[in-house]
Amino acid sequence: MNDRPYKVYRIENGTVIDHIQGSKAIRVLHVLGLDTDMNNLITMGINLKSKKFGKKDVIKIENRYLSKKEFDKIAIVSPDATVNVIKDGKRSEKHIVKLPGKINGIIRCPNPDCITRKEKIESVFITQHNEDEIKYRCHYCERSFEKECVSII
Amino acid sequence: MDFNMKHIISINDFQREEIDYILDQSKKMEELPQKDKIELFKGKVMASLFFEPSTRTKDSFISACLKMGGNHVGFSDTSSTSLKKGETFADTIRMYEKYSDILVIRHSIEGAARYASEILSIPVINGGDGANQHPTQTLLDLYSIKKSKGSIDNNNILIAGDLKYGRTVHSLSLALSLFDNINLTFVSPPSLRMPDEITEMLRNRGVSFSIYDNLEEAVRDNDIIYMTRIQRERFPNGA
Ligand SMILES: [Zn+2]
Repeated sequence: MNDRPYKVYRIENGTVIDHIQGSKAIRVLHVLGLDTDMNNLITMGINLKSKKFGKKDVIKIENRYLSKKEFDKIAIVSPDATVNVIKDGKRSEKHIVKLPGKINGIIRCPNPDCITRKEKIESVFITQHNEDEIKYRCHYCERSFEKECVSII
Repeated sequence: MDFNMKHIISINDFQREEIDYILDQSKKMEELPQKDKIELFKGKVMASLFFEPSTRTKDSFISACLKMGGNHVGFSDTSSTSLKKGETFADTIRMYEKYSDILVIRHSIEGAARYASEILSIPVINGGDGANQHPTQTLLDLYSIKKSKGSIDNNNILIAGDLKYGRTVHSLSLALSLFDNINLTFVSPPSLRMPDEITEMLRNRGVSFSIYDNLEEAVRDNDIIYMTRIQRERFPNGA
């Protein structure tokens, strides 16, 4: 973080979410609830050039750090994103988000007849990798859903 | 094998060894003289909570309970219970937990039995949860195959009817995938074929299967033929 590699405002303390898939940044902000939380200074770069991915998005949030659950939410929207923790202008931690095998309380089951839609229960989904495809299987109604079908609570 | 406090929620929870054990125990039970059978559940209470009516399933559980010397409490539709008065599902099942040693539940909501098993401290049997699971039906199907053929392994099994919506054929097919040298033949009109999700799982598990539209073409050297009722209301124009 010595130079300013991106055309995005530099932060002293906070979180930099980097290597977000091109044009997924707004969705990441949304699942983190940051699109309605106006307490932090947020800067964003959309469709920046990336050597590795062609295009990428970057989000910088001042004075805000993320929880494990928030890492998982980012992973569902954009696997392979990285989360950098910035303290005193320097990167103090770097995490690559990883889709967990079991996802608790993040995904809303799309099945309207599922018990998780009727009772106050934390949803539980099991991540299934089938070749290149990712599906989420509801622990309760046992139905599998494609990535595009699920929404985040 | 220790079945103490083990629930029966989904056939997908079972290993082959556990299914074999249940079927062996079932055979022993069937052969047991009534005077011995009546001792097995003596002094115990089964709660049968049918949030959705199903006379056959309910009566089969109650009959088994009575034959083993047990008693039962419960209801067979929700109009007569305090659920109407706004009591939650969780409150209702927790109340019956206090009255009974085992709970059988049927509900139109998928995952209701799984949820019950997670919040109660008595064993729960799923008597059907919507379009999801009906594991005792599948165990019964497997028992019938074993009883008539001596073994579940090494059979050519033809399954015909509504393969798209029929949950019993989905569960049975997946349960059969746990056994050795099973050949499945699926016969249905093209609009009622086995869903891709099920055929994909069978393929991943290395089960050999073939798909036909026409029963005459499909029938050959089958050891078992399993027919399901086609629900006419699912057909466009009632054809
Ligand atoms: Zn569900």
